[in-house]
Amino acid sequence: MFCKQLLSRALTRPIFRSFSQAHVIVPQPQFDKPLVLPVKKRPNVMKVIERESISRANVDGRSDLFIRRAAPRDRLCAGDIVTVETKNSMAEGAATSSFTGVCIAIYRRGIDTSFILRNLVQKVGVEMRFLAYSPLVKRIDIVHKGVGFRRAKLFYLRENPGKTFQLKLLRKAGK
Amino acid sequence: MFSRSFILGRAIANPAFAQKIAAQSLFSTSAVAHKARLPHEKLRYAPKVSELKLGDYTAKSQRVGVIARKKGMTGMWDEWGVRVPVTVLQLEKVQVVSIIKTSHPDCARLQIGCGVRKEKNTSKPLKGHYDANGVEPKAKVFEFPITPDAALPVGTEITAAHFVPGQLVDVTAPGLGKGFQGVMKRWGFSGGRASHGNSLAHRTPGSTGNINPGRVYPGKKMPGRMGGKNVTVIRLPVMKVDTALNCIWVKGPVPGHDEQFIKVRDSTKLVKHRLFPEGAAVPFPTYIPGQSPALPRETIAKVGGQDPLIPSSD
Repeated sequence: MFCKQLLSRALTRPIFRSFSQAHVIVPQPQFDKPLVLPVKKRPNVMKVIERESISRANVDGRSDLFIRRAAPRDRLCAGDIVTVETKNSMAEGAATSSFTGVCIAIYRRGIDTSFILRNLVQKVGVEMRFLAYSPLVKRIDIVHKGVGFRRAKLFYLRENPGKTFQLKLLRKAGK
Repeated sequence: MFSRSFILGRAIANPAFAQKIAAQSLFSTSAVAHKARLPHEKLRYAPKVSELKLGDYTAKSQRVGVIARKKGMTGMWDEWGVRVPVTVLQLEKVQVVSIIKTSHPDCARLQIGCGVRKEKNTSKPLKGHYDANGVEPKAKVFEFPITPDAALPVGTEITAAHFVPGQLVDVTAPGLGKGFQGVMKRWGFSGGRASHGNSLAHRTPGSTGNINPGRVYPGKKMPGRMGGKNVTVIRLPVMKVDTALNCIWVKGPVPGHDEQFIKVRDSTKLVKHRLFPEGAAVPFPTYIPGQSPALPRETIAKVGGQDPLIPSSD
């Protein structure tokens, strides 16, 4: 049943140059010419693919959160309190789940860029790792910028949480 | 095999035999002589293909394969939001170099070349071979068996559009070399105990035979060089075809290191109707830019099936 619905939806999607076949998807937006830096004479295929994939997955400007050279106030840092809203499935009108936590690690790996959020859920420490460019991740919001965190990876919070998880903001944001 | 003196002796003894030998001689023009072919006069067949045109793909057809270069791995998400690891294989000036002459008309083989090789690095015999076929010197050359209906004229370029997103391919390449390895890594032996008095025998093979025959069998699994051999991974789905970068994305890992030459062909070890997705237009014998329907730059395979993220109603 779902398959038929999705198939009919796929066929009525905007198509490129009148191309429609039931077994393929034409990704949008189409890049007619590969996204190559203008100075490059011999582009590295993997770099071009990474640039295009991120450009396509970057629907709401979330890639700005992961630019290493951006100012700390503009990018995601370890110690920030973040809320991530994820879709439960790719079906239209699917329910969403939300998770709030302190960002304890960021892994910048191109299209596989991910980050870990940690929170206490009913007195149990829960960590969740999100792939930033996954189509199931709907929104990434920085609720509060972290202050006083001097490391890139805050794994020490597992043993020495200090007052991090007692923050009013963390509890408020989680509700 | 038969020495001259033997034949001569028999000829002298038996005049009928002498006549038979005379009839079979190279210089005889009788019909009898030409029927029995001498070893170097075997018949050679090769499909004569002068023009390139689209044909009909049948269940018995076997299209030509391709030589691609492994560029690296990345990830993509399918239509269900599930992450799929993919290997990027790039086609680099893949051309038909020559049509191999085979011993039977039902068998055909194409020699495919890939990449570019400098003239100064190409040996004279190879250069002559390329010039005879009107092709630039290639970095890597392999043969692919095909059915005669899938034959291509010499010089035809095969692009990434030869593959259909969603089809299954077999990839062959030399695997990574592991060097001289011990018996536990190379053959999966269990080794010995870690403690409890074990002396110097933690990773050894143990016994290598019995008291009878009192020797070690040839081929006994022992330490030695591991890896670097040809490995074929079968039935990998083609997840994406990119006509501008001339590359295909196949699901999963592929043997060997990056920049390696990989032989890619349509999967053979499967039920034929599972090879291409249902309703797919198979470019046969290959994708011909003027004649085949125009394609968008990138096409991604639709995985199909049920949404795995929705719990089933069972």
